[in-house]
Formats: sequence, structure tokens, C-alpha cells
Amino acid sequence: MKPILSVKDVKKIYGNGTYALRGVSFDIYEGEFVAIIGSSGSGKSTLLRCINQLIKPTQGSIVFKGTAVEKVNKCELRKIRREIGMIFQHYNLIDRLTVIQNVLHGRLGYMSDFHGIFDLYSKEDRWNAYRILERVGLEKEIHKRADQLSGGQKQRVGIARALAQNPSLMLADEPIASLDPVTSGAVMDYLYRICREDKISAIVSLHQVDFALKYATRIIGIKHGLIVFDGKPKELTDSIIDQIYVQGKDEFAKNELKLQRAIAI
Amino acid sequence: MQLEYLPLRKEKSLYTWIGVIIVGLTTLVTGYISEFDVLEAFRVIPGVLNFIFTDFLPPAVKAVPDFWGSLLDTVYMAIVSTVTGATISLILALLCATPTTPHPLFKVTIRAFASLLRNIPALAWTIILVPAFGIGKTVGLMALIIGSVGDMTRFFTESIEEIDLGGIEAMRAVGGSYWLMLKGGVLPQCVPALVSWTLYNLELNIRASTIIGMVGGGGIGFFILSTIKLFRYDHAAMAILAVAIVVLFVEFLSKNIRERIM
Repeated sequence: MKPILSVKDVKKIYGNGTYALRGVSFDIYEGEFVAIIGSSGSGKSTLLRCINQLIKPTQGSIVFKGTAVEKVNKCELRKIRREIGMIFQHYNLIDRLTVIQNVLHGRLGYMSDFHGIFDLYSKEDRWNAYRILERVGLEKEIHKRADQLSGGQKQRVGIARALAQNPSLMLADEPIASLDPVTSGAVMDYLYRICREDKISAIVSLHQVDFALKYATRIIGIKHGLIVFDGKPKELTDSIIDQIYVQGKDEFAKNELKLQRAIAI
Repeated sequence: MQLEYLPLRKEKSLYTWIGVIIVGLTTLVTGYISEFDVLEAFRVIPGVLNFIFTDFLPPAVKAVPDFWGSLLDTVYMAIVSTVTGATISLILALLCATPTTPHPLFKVTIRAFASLLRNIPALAWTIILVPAFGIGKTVGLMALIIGSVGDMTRFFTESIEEIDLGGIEAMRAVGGSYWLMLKGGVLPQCVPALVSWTLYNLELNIRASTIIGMVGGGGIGFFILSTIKLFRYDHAAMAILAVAIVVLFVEFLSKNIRERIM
């Protein structure tokens, strides 16, 4: 089977000399739900943003559905990006617009400048957006302004917007890091179920190991910009968790994670 | 046991006192040089009041038809220059603001250009432009537009730079083009601020267009100046009163609109 996404030896050095990624390689196959875990600053966000070129990698190749994304021109990049949904830690909604307007933004990648600027979304797009909002349980809030929603609702709008793109790959950058535990569970449920139902592959960065263990079909552990673990959730042992999370000042966090893991299993 | 005051800082700041002394001394010295005389300021009060009450008041209501046209001119000039200025400023600000600039070079040049326009007052622009365009409304309009562009480019740029960059990131991630990024991610976030600055600029322009009328920019300023020169102070008083009413009305209106959109 051919991978839907193939990341090879990707490196990213920021202008200030920070090595965010030091050569990361992995393949993602259709239907996988991959959790990327690692402590803050390990390179998770950079890695996800390299995939859709929100950040240009310094070196390495990223192939999405047979196209090398770092080599294409602007127009082709738009076509690639519209097939990759993205969900953000801080939701990145436009607060002053309504829920349905935010969801329809997911269609912008398919529209000409003229149609986009004058909000000329097709009838089909509009009803599709409505149906997506039904799926995430927000059909009653479609005309509410995004800033009137709770955190969990905002993230569900975020999921709906990504889903409106009709993506084949979903990138989620710490989708539940700003939410309380109960809401986190609900949002992860929605994300997981939708990706399963629509056969969307997903790469989700998380820092809660328990969530990674609960949902992921595969876990990738990153430390200092390098992959230190790549395997099935059941292969993730305590000593590997120790390795992934930096020693010393994160000691407490690490113990917490072991505990969570013990509960989760 | 501890009866002393707990100090709020580790050490008493000597700099505060030095600062106060410097400001005080500077005021005294500059006051002396510019021959500012406190007693004189009080001494002239009766004369000023006398002048206002006998010459200016009551305002001559019968003068209204004489300046009605020029008052409207002043208002029109303010509106046209504000709208034109806002349009130009929006384009310049989008080119200049960090999240939307196509190239950093635009940033530096537009910033410098706007600052040049801004730091020369509209009054001075009128005086500069009168020899080229002659006395009249055209000069006044040009001066107001130049001033508005200078001010609003800066305000708009700052408003655009204050928006949440997450929205822009999201627009790029869904595959939106540069224009759709502006339309979907940038404008919805900053339009209230832009409208608010434009209304503020309208207030400024109504005041400024009165002043520049006095140096040949058309509008009611010219009427005020000429009546004063003819010693018809009651006519001037009526015109000044009318300007004040217009300014208050616009302020009231813009305050209400701003509160509603924010």
C-alpha cells in the first residue's frame, strides 16, 4: 500500500539558530490515527506545520499523495492545502463572524478570489456546512458569533471548518490543550469518530499520553526534534515515556503521565 | 514590635525627585524666556470678557444665510476628504502592516511617507499648496486628504497589526489565496477599528477644515476671518457657534456608532 503522506529526513532550523527538527522521517497510511507526543518545545507544532508548508522546512522532502509539497508553486500548494484539514490549539476562528461563516471558510481553497471575496458560496456548500455542523452537534448555533461559544464548541467549529475542506488528511495541533478534561474527551470523540467515518487519516499532536493511548492507532514520540518512538500504543512502555519526556524539570509531569497510563490501560 | 512603616520599595527613588525638579526648573526658565506673566494673564481677563460680551455676543442670527453655504462646504470637504483618505490609507496600511505586507520594503517606505505627510500640519499643507492651486476648495480638500492619509495610514497599520494571527494562519491552511486571506482572516477582525478611526478622523477634519479655510482653503473659515477683519464680531460669533454645533453633533454621532460596532 502506498502511504498517503511520506515525510523524509525533514529538518527545520529557525533563523535564531534553534534546531526544531533534526531529521524526521515517517509514512502515514490511509485510515491511520497517529498521535504525536512529546514535551513542549520538542518540535511537534513545527512538524505539523511543515506538512502543509505553513512553515518551510530547511531540508528534507514531504510527499503528499504523490506530490512533493515543498517543490510546488503557490497555486498547486493551495490545492494541496485544501486537501489537508488543520485544527489548532487556539481554534483560530474569526471571532466576529458567525459559526456558519467560519465553517464555510473551509471552502475558500476551492473558490476563485471573486467568489470568495463576495461570499458566493454555492447552495451545495452551504447545506454541506450545515450538515457538518449537525454532525458536531452545533446545528442550533449556526448564526451565533464565534466569540459567543465555549471553548469546546469553538473547537468543534474548528473541526467542522477542517471537515468542510473535504480533506483526506487531518492535522490537529494540540486540539485539546486549551480545554478542560471533560470537554477534551468530547472533542477527541468527535475528532476520532469523524476521521473514522470519513476515512480521513489524522495526525494529532497531544501532550496527554492517556488520550494518545485511548485513541491512537499508532504513536510517534518526539524529543529534541528527533523521533524516539514510533509504534503501536501497547509498545509504549514506561521507560520509553521516560525517554520521550525530558529528564529533570519535567520529572513531575513524567510521573503524572505514568500514572495516567496505568489508569488508561 | 514593628512600628515602622513597611517600605513599598527597596530604596527611595532619587530619580523621581530629580525628575520633578528638572520639570519644574524647565517650566520656570521657559516661562521666563517666553515672557509668560501669570499676573498679566489674570489682568487681561476683564478686558477679554468685556470684548466677548459687548462685541461677540449676542451672535447675529441674521448672518446664518450669509455663511450657510460655506458651512456646508466645510462639512462636505471634511466628509469627502475623510472617505478618500480612508480608502487610500487602507491600501497603504495593507501594504505596510506586518501580517499583510507583500514585501518588507513597502513597510519602511510607506511608514516614512505617512510620517512625512503626518508631521506637516494641514494648515501648512494649505499654505504650501495655495501658490500651485490657487485659493479655493480644491486646495482645502488636497490638504485635508494629505493629512488624513498621514494619520489614518498609521492608525490603520496599527489596527491591522493588532489582529489575532491565528485567523490568518487558518486562512492559509485551508488553501486561501492572499486576497481571500485578507477578506476572510484580516478584514473581519479589524473593520470595527478601521471604522472607528475613520469617524475620529472625520471629527478632526471638520475642525481642521475650519482652520484651513482661514488661509485660503475654502469653507467657513474664510467667512470667519473676513468678518473679523471687518469688525463684525457678532457675525463671526454666529459662525463659530455653528461650527461648534456641527462638531458636537459629529462627535455625538461617531461616539454612538463606535459604541455600537465595537
